[in-house]
Amino acid sequence: MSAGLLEASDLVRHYQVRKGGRLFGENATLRAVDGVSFSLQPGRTLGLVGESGCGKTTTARLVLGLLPLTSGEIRLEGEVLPATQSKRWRDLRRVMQMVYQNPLAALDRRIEVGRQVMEPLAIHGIGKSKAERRDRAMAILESVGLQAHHFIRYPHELSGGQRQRIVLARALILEPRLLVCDEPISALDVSIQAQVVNLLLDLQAKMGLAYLFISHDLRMVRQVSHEVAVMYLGRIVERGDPDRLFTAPAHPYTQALVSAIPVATRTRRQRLILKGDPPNSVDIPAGCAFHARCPMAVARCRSETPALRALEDGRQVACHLAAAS
Amino acid sequence: MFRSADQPLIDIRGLTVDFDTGQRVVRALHGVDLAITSGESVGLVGESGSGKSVTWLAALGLLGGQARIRGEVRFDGRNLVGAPARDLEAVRGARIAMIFQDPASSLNPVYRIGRQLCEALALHRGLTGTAAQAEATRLLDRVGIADAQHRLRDYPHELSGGMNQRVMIAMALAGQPEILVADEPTTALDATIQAQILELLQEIRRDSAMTLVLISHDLGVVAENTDRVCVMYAGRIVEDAPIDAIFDRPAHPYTSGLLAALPELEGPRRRLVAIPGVVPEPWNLPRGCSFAPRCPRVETACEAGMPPSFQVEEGHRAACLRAGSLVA
Amino acid sequence: MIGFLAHRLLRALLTIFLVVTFAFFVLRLSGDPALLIMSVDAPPEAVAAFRKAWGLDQPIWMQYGAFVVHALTGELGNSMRDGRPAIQLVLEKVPATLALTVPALVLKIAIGVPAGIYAALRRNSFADRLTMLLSVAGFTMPSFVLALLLVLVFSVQLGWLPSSGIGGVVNMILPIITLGAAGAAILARFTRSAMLEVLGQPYIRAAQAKGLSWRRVVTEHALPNAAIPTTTIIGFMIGTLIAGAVVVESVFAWPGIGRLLVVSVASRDLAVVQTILLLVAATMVVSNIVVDVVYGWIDPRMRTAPK
Repeated sequence: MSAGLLEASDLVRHYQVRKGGRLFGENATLRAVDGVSFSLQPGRTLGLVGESGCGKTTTARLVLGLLPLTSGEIRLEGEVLPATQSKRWRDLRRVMQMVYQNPLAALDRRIEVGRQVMEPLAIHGIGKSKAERRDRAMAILESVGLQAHHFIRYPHELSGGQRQRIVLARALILEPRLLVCDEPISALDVSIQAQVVNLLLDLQAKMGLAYLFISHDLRMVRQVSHEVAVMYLGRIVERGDPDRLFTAPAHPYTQALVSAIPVATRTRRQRLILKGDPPNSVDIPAGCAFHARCPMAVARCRSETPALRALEDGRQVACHLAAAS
Repeated sequence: MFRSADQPLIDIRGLTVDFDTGQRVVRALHGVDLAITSGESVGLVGESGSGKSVTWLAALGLLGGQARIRGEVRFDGRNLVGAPARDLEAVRGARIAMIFQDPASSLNPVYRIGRQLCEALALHRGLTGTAAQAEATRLLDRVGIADAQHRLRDYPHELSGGMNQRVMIAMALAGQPEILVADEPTTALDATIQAQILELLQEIRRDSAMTLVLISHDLGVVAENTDRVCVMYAGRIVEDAPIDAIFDRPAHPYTSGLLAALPELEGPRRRLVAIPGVVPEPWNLPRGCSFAPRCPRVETACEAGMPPSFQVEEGHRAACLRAGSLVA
Repeated sequence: MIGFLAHRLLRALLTIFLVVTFAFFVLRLSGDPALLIMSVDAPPEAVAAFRKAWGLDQPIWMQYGAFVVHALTGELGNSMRDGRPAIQLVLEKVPATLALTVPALVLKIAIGVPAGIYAALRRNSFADRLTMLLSVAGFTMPSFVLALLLVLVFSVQLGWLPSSGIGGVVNMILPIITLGAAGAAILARFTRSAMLEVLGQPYIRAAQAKGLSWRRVVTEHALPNAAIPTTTIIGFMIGTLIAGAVVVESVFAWPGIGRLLVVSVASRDLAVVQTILLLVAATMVVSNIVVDVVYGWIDPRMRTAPK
């Protein structure tokens, strides 16, 4: 693959935890992210899906350098991501920005939202005067669908959707190349979600942004993504074109995930219901992590961990049985 | 008691709820009418603050001292609104059971699962001792919890969210209620666990002919699990129709708007049609129809007053002045 | 559990050791016992002899080493003022102090907990506001002020109760009320907020939805949960049973540990002060361990990690 905007190779993030209680439990390793690789081209969107605890948020934080890697490498525009909090890392933050699930928590409730949008310019020393920075902030507010009078509002005076627009404006004012969106619409009401998703698509078309879009909502992920990666217990189990991946999922976990989505139509599909809960990231089963819940597991799945490999249609799947089906 | 086939099991009429916060009185519910017949499964869909949970909490008298409730909730020949505490207690759990959004915190953290189940069994069925233990084990088994006898000795924090919701369902079944109100039962759960829980609710309904009220913000969840949908907006039911009618011929512009705003998982990708504007705050509702400021089909008459509910067809009503013309 | 207790015990011993060490140096560096105990005009030879007799002529590190070695063998030294073993002197006074602090603790719990529960259940009512007003008054008022007020009203004006001294139960009433009032106020406020927190939890509504009467929801579901944080405060109060009455004992001239401490500090009666502090630290630390154990017993979440 050609050098893209973002190259993540074999990202690993482990935590040492105590097992089974408070003080004298034995040490164990929590494998939050366990060998994740992907690349992202400018102007494209990679959707990251999976259930809680699968490591998608940890991956996002690793990509931004907010968490140190246990091993692996991240390249941004060809350059290896420097150590967190280093001077170079802070400079690079201009290129990559993040949007969180809860916009109210991401904003300072005592400061006018317009000034919060201007702030990154001052931090990075962009713009000659305060007036110039103010003009830029006004322009970016307009491009996220807000009006001049919103500039002097406080976060609590805005609706959830408007707050998320402010967060977007603040992230975009530095003209980043990469926007990491962690569940950016989950906290919003259904009728507002579509507004924000449309805005994200418009901004991408206009500014050539790349998105790492994290969500548990598969329908929204399909709506925005050029490529989708499905994560289970810290690993990517399937990756590929969203239309193909969601219409004919190859990995049994993707199949279960897709069939679990309630659809707002009357055509009821055959549903694949998984047994049990996902194991936690400390007790990841040997072999394929999914084998205990997998309806198709064979002996090999218990002993041998499947690697991601390409199928004929260009998709990648980490399942011993996928090619046969 | 005799009840004719089409006489509703529960009949909510003009239910209004005001919350007195001390500084101001906020109206959360503006006269909800909802009649449900025995064995029906009804979904309540709406965004946060639309009043879907408040309707049922008010009906069961669970809103606490700050709520002022008016209107009628006719159940079994009595009006539950303003009924004495003793009467309401006899209805709760025994006739109408309710399960909630966050299963882990809906169970008391200091008691074992078994004790909490047996409490319900003693209350509603007079079971104690080994009889209660046996029935509790059977109920856990019924809701698909493996190794039920041992799980009775677990505390809620030792179980996953999905398991706790199964326990809540078992506890609801303990009273053998006629109506089960499930308030966002899967919102806090992951997709694959949500599918498990919804499947379980369907299975129970098939076996027991229980009436199901499913409250959800997710039109998909309601579509797959109920026969009839009530769409709520700003404290009112704006459309009430069989599932098929909602998708084929939505009569209220809010319902059509919600459908157009949802992305699909299959078929060609199309740009979503968003509903412009924001949900009005309950203390700042527009005059007339609450949806008028966001409505693509608004006309001057909409701002004159809240439109009454129009019958669009048999079993399909909508609170929109243009409801008739939308269908035609 | 064994491991947990062993760990806590080690930390407890370390705490006690630090307290006693701190006291040892502060006492010796802040005044010369020989000059304080001997009369001011005592001949220098007598003072020197006194110093030698008590080992005060040694370098302070040597004194400390000797103290630690002795303390480890259970030998806490003798009182400089009357020559008896300090431990004996201190233990003699314990019953008198407990005679005040134990009833006071009972009073705190008996008034504070029910008042807090009642206020929470009647939130924003007149009774709630009154309880909270009294509670603020109770814990903002210094205990010597309250003690003097009580003496003024009940001893001086009404002449019902003695203002100080020892004797019968009548002598204990005012000190006990003084000690109990502030604790009851704190406990009421704390119980109220713990109760309000619990009443807002989803499981309370779920218990109601189950069909339980409000009385049963409160007694069987709310109270056991509100008891968890309240227990911590009560445990802390148990830790102050020995040392919590210094001011009150002084005001009412009650011959307990508190008054012994005040007198001993003033005269730098080193062994006695050290013994009292050791005892106080030990009760504090033990009560903390007891709280932790009780905590684990009433809150199952503390016992096991999620599976």
